Amino acid sequence: MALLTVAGLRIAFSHRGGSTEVVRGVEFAVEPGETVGLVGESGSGKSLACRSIIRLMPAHATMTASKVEFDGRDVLAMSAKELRDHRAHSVGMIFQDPYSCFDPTMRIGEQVAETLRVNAGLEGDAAKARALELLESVDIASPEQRFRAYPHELSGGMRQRVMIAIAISASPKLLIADEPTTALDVTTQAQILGLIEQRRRESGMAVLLVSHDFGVIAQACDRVVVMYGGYVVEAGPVAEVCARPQHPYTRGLLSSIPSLESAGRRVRRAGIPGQPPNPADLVAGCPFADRCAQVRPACRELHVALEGVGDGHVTACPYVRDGVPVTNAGGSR
Amino acid sequence: MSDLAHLVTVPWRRLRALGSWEITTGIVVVAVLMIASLLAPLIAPYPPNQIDVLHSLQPPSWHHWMGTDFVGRDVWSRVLYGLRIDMLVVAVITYLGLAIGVIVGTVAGYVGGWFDAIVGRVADTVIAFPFIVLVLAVIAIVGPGLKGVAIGIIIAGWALYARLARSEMLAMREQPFLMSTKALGYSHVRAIFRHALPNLVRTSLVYSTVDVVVNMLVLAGMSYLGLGQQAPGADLGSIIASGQGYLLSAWWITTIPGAVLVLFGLGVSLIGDGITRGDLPQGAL
Amino acid sequence: MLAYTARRVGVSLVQLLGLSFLSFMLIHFVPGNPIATMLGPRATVQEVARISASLGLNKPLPEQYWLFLGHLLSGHFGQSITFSQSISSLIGQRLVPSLALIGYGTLVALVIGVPLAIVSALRADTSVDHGIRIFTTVSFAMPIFWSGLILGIVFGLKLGWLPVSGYGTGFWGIVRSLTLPAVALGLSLLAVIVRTLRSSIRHVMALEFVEAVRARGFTTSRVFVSHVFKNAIMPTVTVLAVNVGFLIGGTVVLEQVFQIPGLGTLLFQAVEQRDYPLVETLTVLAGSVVVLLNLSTDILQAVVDPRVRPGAHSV
Repeated sequence: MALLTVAGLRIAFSHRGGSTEVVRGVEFAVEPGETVGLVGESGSGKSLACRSIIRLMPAHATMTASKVEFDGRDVLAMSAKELRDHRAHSVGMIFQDPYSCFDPTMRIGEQVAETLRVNAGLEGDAAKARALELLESVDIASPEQRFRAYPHELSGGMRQRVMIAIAISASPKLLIADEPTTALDVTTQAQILGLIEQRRRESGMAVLLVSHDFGVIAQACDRVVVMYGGYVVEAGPVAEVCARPQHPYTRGLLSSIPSLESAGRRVRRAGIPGQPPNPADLVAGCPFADRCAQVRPACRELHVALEGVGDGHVTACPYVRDGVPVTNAGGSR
Repeated sequence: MSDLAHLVTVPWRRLRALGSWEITTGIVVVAVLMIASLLAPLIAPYPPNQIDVLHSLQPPSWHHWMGTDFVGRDVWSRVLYGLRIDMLVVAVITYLGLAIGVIVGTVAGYVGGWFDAIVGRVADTVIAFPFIVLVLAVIAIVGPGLKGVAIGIIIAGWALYARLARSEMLAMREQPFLMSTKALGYSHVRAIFRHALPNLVRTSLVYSTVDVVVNMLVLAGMSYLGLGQQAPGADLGSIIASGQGYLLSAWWITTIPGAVLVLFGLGVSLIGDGITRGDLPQGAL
Repeated sequence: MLAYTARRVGVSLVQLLGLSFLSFMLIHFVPGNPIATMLGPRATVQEVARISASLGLNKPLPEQYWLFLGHLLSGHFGQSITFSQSISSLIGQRLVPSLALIGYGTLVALVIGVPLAIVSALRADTSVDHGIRIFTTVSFAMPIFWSGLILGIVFGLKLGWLPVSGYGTGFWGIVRSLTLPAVALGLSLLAVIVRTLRSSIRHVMALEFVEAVRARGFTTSRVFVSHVFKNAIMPTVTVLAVNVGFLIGGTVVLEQVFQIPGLGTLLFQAVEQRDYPLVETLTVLAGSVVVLLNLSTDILQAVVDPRVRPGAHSV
């Protein structure tokens, strides 16, 4: 049974004169212990989609879904208290910018210890001792000294380690990592990904890794979910998707990575022409139609839905298979 | 000329474009008060200083719908004339202070050097004095009366505009469009007045909506203390003071002129609020 | 931290010098003979000459300023002419009521303003928020002496709960006599507090770390008290310090309304009687209070917020 199932997820921002939908019917699942990648450009809705798991919506955003089920429990039906419990114990989360994710006026160690006091019921010295252990477990040298540091006094990599320590302090079943390495330099990126992988293997938690960088996803994940313009456009096992990308968007994304060996480097070859869409401008049809080299008139009226191409591999494009246009497409649907 | 027209029409067009209820309400309130006070000689049912001891301390009625004071003067007529003088004085001192401050600050920011250093220090010093204390000190020199209050408020008030304009000017000096005027061989003065000043004035005008309210309150306060408008002339502050001995028996002498002051302050603040909120991105305020 | 403090203290010293110079020049701006103006038409020529000499007005300007500075620093402010008393003892008698009123007024403003700001920020752009904004705008637009009088009519004269004039004895007597003026003072300050705090709370709430803390499953109240509020309060403290001049001004007026024998009343009397040495001293002291308070909040801010401290070294 899947650890996490999300289906029919829609998220909209309300503003003066209406609302804009930025996630438009997304589904994905995470099995216990696996690492799933959520990849897409900024504005694809991936960050909001991953926040739906703990219902962490920004102001003015509302989410609806036909299903958000975690470990057999309905997240949508949780009371405020159950939701706090869910956030505190079942799911840990780390963020893109490890600097702005700390209270700037509180010592690092105190922020770890506070989490332990509040969520694990530890008190005083016990909380401090456990906090030091946690800092050590994420490979922070001389934790006693770092304990008293303020966030701005640590390096980016070190702050992200502390963030991980806080996120895994309650031994969650799922770790959501929203662009955890984007703000870091290449060497540190690899170390942080290594640390997450190591913690996953030791604890058996699942990881949902959100990134705009297919290289990072390819390196770290078992399965990948590709998002574009608020839709899931392709999903499947990483090796399979990399070898046989189906959606023209995924193909473009993959061609923009130099090679899998140098994954993680932020060098981009010219991949997909054009800009990611503004959610407010999207009307009907395939969201990628404007940038797609293989666009056809029917794309403008396409009802975006995933169809299987074998082996857990799904795509939202009915018109292209392995880069070749399908002539009789649409007839079977 | 076109620049001047620009100065007036651009803010007005933007005001209309903002179209918030705050601005509309604020403009209506202020306009009504302004028109009423301008038309005081026509509207006022009695001369403001006409004494009628037989009808002193009358409560509001058809004949005196804001009542009469302790010597039978009609409060409504006195309020109209009082508002007239207060609005006039406040408009003059606020915008005279603004003009002085903007000019001094702009020039200081533009020429830099010792002039800028002196202007900066003097402005900082003036701002450090509590506003009312400084006004009082000036009144001690000039003597009581509207003249003393006006001079005091201008002396205390120009400094904030100077500081505002100076820092904006410093930032603007680096901007390409002003540097290009230099390259084109414009004279400095021309460069300042044609290009920089309109921008600086806009910021100051927005701030002046707060200043107008503060100045009105200080003016009323000084008159209340007996240091502003001198008898027999009346302004709102002195009318309020004249009712202080009759708080229980004739509440209207004190309360109604104050309410008019509140209405004025509310109207101006609403306009200022509307402008600021429209200017800033949502959530910034 | 030390370098920052030193630089900040330097700026304040320059300001204090400016304050003392402008206050010193006051008497020299008086048209005609200030001493003759001050003593009134009945004063004899000898008297005028004697007072002028005792104030050192016959010495050259730089020397006068030098003496003035020396007197200020040593606390010997000289004699008040109208009160025939030393200025320092006059100030000593009048200081406490004024300080108490300013403190009490600030307290009232905070007690009313902080909850309003929190509600306003948490319910931003709702009718509650609009209502609070209009309320604070009205309280800002009220002339302070007028709201004092209205409070006096209602709670003093009609209901008879609180005294409407004078300065009580004993702690509770003082509290009772200062309550109405303090409320009037607090109301005038309300708008500034509510606006500043509301916008800084909203600013902090939009920061990423708040989302990160929420993601840990903390209760809303814990997130607010332990993280948001602490990060949002500093701008309000700074604004309070900046507005102390405004409070001092309000006190001057309110002391007249409620007949409180404080420094405001003293300044008012000095202005009325044209007691220039007294006006000079009170003006420079009032300005110095503002400068010194701003200095201390800036330093306090550096202590509270570790990022402000320049040279905070990496571990």
